[in-house]
Amino acid sequence: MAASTQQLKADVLVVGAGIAGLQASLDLADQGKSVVLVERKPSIGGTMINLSKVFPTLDCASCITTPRMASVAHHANIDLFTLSEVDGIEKAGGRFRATLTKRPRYIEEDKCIGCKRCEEACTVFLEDDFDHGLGARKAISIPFTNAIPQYPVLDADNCLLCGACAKVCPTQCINFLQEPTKVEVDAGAVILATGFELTPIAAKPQYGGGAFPNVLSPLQMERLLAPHGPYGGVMRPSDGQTPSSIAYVQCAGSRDKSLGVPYCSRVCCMYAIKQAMLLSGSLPIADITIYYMDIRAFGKGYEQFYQNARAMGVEFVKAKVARISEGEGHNPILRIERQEAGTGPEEVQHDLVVLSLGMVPAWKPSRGGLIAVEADTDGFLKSPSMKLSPALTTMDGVFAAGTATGPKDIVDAITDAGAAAMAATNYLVRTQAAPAGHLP
Amino acid sequence: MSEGEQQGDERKGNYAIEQLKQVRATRGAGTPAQIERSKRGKEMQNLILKAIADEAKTVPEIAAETGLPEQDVFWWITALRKYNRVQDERKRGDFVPYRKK
Repeated sequence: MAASTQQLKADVLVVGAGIAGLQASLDLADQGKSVVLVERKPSIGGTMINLSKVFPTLDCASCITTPRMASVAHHANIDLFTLSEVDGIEKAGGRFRATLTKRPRYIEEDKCIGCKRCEEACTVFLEDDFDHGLGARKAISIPFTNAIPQYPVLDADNCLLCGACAKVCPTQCINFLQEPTKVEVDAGAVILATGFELTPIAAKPQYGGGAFPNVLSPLQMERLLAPHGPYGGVMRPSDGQTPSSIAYVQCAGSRDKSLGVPYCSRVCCMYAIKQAMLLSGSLPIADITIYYMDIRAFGKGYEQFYQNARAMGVEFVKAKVARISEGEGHNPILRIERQEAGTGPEEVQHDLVVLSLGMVPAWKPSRGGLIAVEADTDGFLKSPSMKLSPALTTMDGVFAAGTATGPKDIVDAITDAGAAAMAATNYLVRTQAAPAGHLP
Repeated sequence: MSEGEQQGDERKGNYAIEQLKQVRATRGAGTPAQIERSKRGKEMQNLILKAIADEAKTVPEIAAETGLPEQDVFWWITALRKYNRVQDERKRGDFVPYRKK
């Protein structure tokens, strides 16, 4: 039960603190607008903070994201709510009333000094969400090294209530009795930056359905490639062996009507090429093969990036992977058919396989709950004027940023966020100038 | 840690005792499955740490010695490595040997 209700008034409510939500919030706050930024996870940063490097420049992803995260956390015009979800947003008289639920962290944030002694003392080991199950976390832990805010969160569902964390806490900041709190926000405009999820690995039983330890999702491979990844290098989850043969299966979750994802996810070709190049660097003698239908390298510098990968020795095989089975020693065996005359189905064994999964919306408007905006046929937010005003949604005053309207790379998500911030500012000017009774 | 320091640390946790009692009374201290999982985890940690106490070993070597599945051994090595209980040694072929810190 909620203990109390906090009331806030802001120019703009931004939902989602991935790279698009962060950028939109900063663009608005730097213009002097007050922003309430809501994130359901314990840290801001979204998917981008999870990545190793970005294409096509191979810049360090966290080096780009972390300064933006810090700027948001310290900006005088931004009120940040993590571990918080929007229960609903209603429009009245051109403004919006949102109700948020802030879930308990079980930490008194004003006392916590982020020393991690509680995490060291905790005896409950769990699969780490940040490392997509490859690594471990404790039942009380700071989500990742550069998480913002830098406070631990206690996983009440898995805590065994032994009290070891409380015994070692030097500031006595652990509070097992915290309850969810309600926050009401009166905002002039709303930006939805609700992001994406990958198509579930379990949805492709012909590729093992998630049961094979050496068949990974692309985000798991991102963690293996990251400098502070769970293993300290690229190794096979089944036995810790350094792989000498790695394969990528393209379109493993996109352009697939059976999954309800008939569209191209736009980024899979490029992230596979990027990871292949990074693997060539970290495992110079490994064979890397990409099985693909088409390579879609549409952005600035992307075609050159693709050609560079070919020149580095990454093998591109135009073939459809029909099935993945598991051989001796958990080696994945791919049944493929090359798209070349005179070839038939064949079986190829690799040490490690990465499925290039597609993108689906993290919040589907059809699911309801958040706000009554319309969904497009692909399940993402509908943009009624995609070419001229891509930030618009079907409700005046509600704007979309990043992958909320469809699959996008980071460059487009950030550009989109700027457009949404500008559109929200224009809406505020328009509604504030309108005489009473003439609000949109 | 001396006995005095230990008692001091325990006193520090006193503030939470009443809270813990209250929460344990309302939702219990973990489900039987969670308690069993925790117990099994401790057993696996001990077996692995014992196997690499005197000599660095690779995941297949630890698995062979302990009888645990290689995948479980590697997950626990990853966990113990993160929390500074295990360190890497120079790579041997395709495998990294691990030693207890």
